[in-house]
Amino acid sequence: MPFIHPAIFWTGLAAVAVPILIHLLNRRRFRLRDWAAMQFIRQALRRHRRRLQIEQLILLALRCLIIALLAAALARFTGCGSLALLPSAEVGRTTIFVLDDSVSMGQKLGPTTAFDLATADLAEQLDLLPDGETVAIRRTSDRDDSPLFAMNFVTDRTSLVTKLQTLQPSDGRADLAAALGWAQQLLSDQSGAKRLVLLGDFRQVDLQSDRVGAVRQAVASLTDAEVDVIVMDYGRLAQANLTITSLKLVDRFVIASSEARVAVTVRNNGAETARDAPVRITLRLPADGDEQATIDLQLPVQTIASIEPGGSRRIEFDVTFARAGSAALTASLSADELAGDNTAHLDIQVREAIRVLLVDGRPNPAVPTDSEAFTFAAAIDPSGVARSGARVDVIAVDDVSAAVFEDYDVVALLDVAELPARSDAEGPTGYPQLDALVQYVRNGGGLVITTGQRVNLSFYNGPMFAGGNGLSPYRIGPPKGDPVARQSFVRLDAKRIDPVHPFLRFFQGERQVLTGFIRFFAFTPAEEFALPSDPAAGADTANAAGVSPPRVLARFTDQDASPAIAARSFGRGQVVMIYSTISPRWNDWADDQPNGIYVTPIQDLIRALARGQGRQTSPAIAAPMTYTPPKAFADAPAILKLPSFPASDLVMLGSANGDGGDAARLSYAGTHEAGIYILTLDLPDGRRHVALLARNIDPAEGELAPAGRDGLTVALDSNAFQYIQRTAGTSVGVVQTSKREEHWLWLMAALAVLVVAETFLAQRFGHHSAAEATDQGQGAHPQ
Amino acid sequence: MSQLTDQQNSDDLRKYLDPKVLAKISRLDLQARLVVEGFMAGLHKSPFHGFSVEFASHREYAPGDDTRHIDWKVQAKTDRYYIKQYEEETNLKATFVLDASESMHYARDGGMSKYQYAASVTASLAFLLQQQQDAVGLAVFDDDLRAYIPPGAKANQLRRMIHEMDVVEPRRKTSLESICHILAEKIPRRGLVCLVSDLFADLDGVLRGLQHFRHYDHEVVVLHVMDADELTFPFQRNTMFRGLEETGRLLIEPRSLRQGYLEAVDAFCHAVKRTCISHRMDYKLISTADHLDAALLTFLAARAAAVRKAGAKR
Repeated sequence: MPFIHPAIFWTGLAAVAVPILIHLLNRRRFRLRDWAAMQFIRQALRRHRRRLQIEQLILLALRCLIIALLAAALARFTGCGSLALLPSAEVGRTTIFVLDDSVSMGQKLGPTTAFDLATADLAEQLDLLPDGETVAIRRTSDRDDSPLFAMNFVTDRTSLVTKLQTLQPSDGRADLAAALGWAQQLLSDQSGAKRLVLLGDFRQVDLQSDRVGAVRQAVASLTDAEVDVIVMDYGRLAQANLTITSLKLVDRFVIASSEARVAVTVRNNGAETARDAPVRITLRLPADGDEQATIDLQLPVQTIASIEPGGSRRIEFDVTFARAGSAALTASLSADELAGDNTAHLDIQVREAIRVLLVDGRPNPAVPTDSEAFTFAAAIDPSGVARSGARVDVIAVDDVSAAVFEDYDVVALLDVAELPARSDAEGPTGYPQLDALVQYVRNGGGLVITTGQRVNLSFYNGPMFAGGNGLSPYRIGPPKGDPVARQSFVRLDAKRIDPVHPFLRFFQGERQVLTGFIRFFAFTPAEEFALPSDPAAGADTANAAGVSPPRVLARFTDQDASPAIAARSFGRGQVVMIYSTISPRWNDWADDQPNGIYVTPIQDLIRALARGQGRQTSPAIAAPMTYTPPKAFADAPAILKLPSFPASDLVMLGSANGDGGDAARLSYAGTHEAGIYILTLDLPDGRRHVALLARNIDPAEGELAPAGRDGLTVALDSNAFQYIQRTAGTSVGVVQTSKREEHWLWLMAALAVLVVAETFLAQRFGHHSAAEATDQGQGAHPQ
Repeated sequence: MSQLTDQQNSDDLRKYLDPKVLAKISRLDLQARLVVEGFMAGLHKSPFHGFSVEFASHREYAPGDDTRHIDWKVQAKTDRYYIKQYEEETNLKATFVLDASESMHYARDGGMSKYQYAASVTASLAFLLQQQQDAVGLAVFDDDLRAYIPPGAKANQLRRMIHEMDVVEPRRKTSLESICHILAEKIPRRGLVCLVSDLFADLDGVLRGLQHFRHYDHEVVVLHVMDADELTFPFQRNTMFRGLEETGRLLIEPRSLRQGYLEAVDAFCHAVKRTCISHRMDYKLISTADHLDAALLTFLAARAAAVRKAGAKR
């Protein structure tokens, strides 16, 4: 119905019967008058009867038409197509254009792209707009306070069209809900006819997100506010489109000169099977020279044999980084229908080595091999020059107060009696180094605890156990066995070794039997099922958050099947506790054993516990970027090159200490581009630190399946929009809105003409109502 | 001073000549006196005169007499004005034919009906003629001759006429032609026949009847009395017109038909006037909204002019 209020029109149309009823009723209401000159009345009637009938019909038709037009005007007639061509019908209208500039709009449509076609359509619509129309344009990537064109009259269409022609799709997703909310707010302040033109690809994946509820609500509000919503759909089902959905570091960290495992996952979002798809890997490293901050190295191309439509393939490859520092990997595919999803980036912090701190409970013995740390350190770094990828520092327990745990990836307490206490006159009041150690593990550090003869049970079962929420997984009892006599021993129960944890990965499969080479002459029994002696006093509820229950990785073969090795997650870090010495003092594990039975699990243990690099993938765009530079560069001014540099300007971030905060970190929130950001910190003495940070597009942008009209109707729970499917090589022309282009001005003009015509004709025909003051003759007999 | 007094008296009298005022005066003789004395104040001579040619005697001049009949020789001898009297004792025999059909019953706004108005006109003219010593008679008719008083000059002649007009009530249809034929045979000597009617009858029949009077050399005067409503048709609302004299009913919207009605009335009046003139009859259309004195004055002035014109030709 071409009316905003059809009910009013139908009611008004029924009122067309009113003149007819009045006419009929008037025929029943008359005055009775005795009259002598009947012959003249009859004579006049004979001569004018036909004329009178025609006149009455004309007047009746005019009056009915007046009422019908009045009904149409009140019902807010929105007209038909031909009426829309009337020049002044849309004066005072407000039109808001929302342009989807998400990655998916870069899809090729013949010789052009969906985005180029949309901008061309937008330029055409701007050119066709009548003067006096208020316009606002916003890309989906724009912020509310900085749209592409703020609400105003278009005074310089040429420059605006030129600006449109230079636009490119962004690297972001289409946040329709935000754009519609913005449009809704703008239009609520406008009077007159209102239009909202949405130009986008309206993919199924967009309409299945958690934001579709907000979109639906916004469309409903706009429809209620009598906004004419026009959807121009540029979406197409892709024939050939591969998307890199993930570029991920398989290892938890990368050590210089060591191989790092990287995985790339490619999804086929096209309709055809992809065969022999090459994946090119580029390694970007900071350059030594001043002129160029980075250099790119091409790594061997990986090839994916085939991917079925809708399927994904993951390939893994090793990359060796020659030196420590910042690096970035870029995986890219060959060109297809959508170029924006063919690339993914991964920034990597390459360490020189895993830094391990061994706190020796038996330091400085007469014979160095008698120290608790000797064999352990030798197993971690046999060469002593970090060739294995780990560098070991050993300190005595007395020196632990000066240790900074945060400088290490793994800390090991080896037969440490207890950590130094802070005391006053009444006794110990706390263990500051224990608190520091707890915080260190919580922040992702790894902790190894071994027991031995020196272990202070009250310390381990007290503050270390913390009522079950401490670093020590279990309460422990006095040592069992005689390590001196070595008459009896237990072994690791080969059948009860945890198959998952990397520490004991060595003893999986056929190598289970190798546990038989290890004899434990003494051990500290863990009270696996014991409750805290004083739960109310001992339970440290403040530490409970992020602390998982302990897990037994291996058990002794004693009759109690006592835990030999236990582990627990503690915050972002992990704790592994070995209930025996790591030195040969209580066992012969570290003795000259064949097949790396000692060295390999220790190396696995260190790698399993070492602090990871935080994340294995680079985040999506718009995620705020933070970076903690080395302490030496905390005061250095930071300069950030965006991925689009040199097309974009450099960003000056100041120094990490500039804000005076405790954490000397650099932060940047404007990460709206996918790619590699290059952060450069220069010191006055010429030293430079370069960090590479990456941001990726949302891989869902590669899913191009359009929702179409039906999908939109279902998703929006409304069909109150005009849908235009766009194809390349055609123009839209004037968009004839389905409704709400009101023509009441013309209706009122027609109404006025009809009223004038009716008045004139009524007077001309002698039907005009005049005062009947003289119509009160004596002979009148009102009935 | 005396002129001002006469003018004031004239104005005082005229205010009683409004038809609405006259309607309140029930006695026709009083109406007639009021009317005639009102307009006669400025009238120099009577437009009516006799036709006799043989001299009989003199009589003293009376106001309204034609000065042509003053005997100047006698005036020279006696220094008094005498009128030559001819063989006929009475100068004029005038018969008023008054329509008393039902159509004459129509009236508006509490004013005079056409019949009342016509009766006043008749009485006024009769009074005037009697003042001139002329003989006056009356015929009242509808579809039949309801009353007939032959022309006479007796002192109570006017009272008889008025009585007859008073007692008649308009109720029946008009049959003017037949009445004219009857009256033409009843009035043997030539004289003045004055028809006072709305003429709502077959116009050809009316003319045939009037021609019968002309056939006997009567001078015919037609006073066409119509109500103001009939002349202007001022009605607005839908109206059911119920015809008097059994002419049926019609429901019409007057506004749309007014123009056609007025055209029909105008055509009718013109046809009557044209026919009267062609047959040498005097015709005067009188609206009941007109003041009686004005209506009569204009009629008498026009007639005096016509008489002077005829005299000049002789």
